[in-house]
Amino acid sequence: MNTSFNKKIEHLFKEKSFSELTFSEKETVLTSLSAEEYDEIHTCIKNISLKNKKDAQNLSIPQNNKEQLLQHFRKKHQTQFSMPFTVPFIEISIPYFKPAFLATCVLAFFVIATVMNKEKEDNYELTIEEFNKYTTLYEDHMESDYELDETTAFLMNM
Amino acid sequence: MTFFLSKKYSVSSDEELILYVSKGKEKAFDELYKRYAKKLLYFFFQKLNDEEKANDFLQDLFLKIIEHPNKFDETKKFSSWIYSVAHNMCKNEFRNEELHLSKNNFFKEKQENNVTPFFCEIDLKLFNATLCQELNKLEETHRLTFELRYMHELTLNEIAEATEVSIGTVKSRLFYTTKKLAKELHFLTEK
Repeated sequence: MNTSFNKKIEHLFKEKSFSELTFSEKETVLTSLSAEEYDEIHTCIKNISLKNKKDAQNLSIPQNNKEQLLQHFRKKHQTQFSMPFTVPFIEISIPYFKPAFLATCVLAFFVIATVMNKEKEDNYELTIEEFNKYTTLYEDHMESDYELDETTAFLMNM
Repeated sequence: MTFFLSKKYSVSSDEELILYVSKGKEKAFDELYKRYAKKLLYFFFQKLNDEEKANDFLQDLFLKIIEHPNKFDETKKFSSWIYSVAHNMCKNEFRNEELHLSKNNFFKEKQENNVTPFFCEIDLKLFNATLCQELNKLEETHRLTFELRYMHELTLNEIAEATEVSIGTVKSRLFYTTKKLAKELHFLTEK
């Protein structure tokens, strides 16, 4: 003996009376209920459904109830400091925005690091020995390109 | 531009919405209110038989959600959870005072101002009153199962979660309750 309705039967008695059922539907129903029981349930459910619609139409929620709740919500969740006109990036819903934003940050970081590294190379500092080597004149190493006459030699040694 | 900047809470599930509410997202709370306020008002009205009281209970319920959104049991469906909370609120109220549930005075007042009833005025009042009477004769668990199924249109899974029983138990309760009520109310619908 069946002790529960199957979904199909439940759907049927919301929609049709017993006389409106097809032959196969009647067979299905009769496995659980008699025709009389089916019609009783169908009428009861239909009337409850009508009653529900009627009740729902007549009930109303006062306008300011929701406003009061929202004020309470804001009060509970208010932040100490909030920057004006900030775009809530987390809430942007463009597809693939977040991965693209992350990739852009990584790329920017990489570019900045590369540029800074290059500047460092260009600003190579000479050691003291190298500095002396390239800037100090060692007369011993210089070869004279010409022969000094007596006058020029005299003047240079003054 | 604004369209792309706002999250689409209207497509989020109830479970996602309550999570956003716990993080302080006002629009998520607004969406949740839109989805459940009227249904829960009707649930409270069915139990309490008083529109003003039903509205007060509705406010209390949503205040509870604002204050303690983390009390939501993530293993359950949100609809099952919120109806079980609403049911418990009513149970507590019934413990505090005795409610007169046999006559529905609300409809008497409303019907005077109504334009076109669905069916005869007398039939509606009588059906309502008799339905309430018969429902009150039932065991609380059977009554709740019936109401959640046929008045609030919850699925069998949701009813099972809300009442903390198996689906098989829900089905058999519905079977016996529906048959019994249909028999008791049959005399009203005979023509």
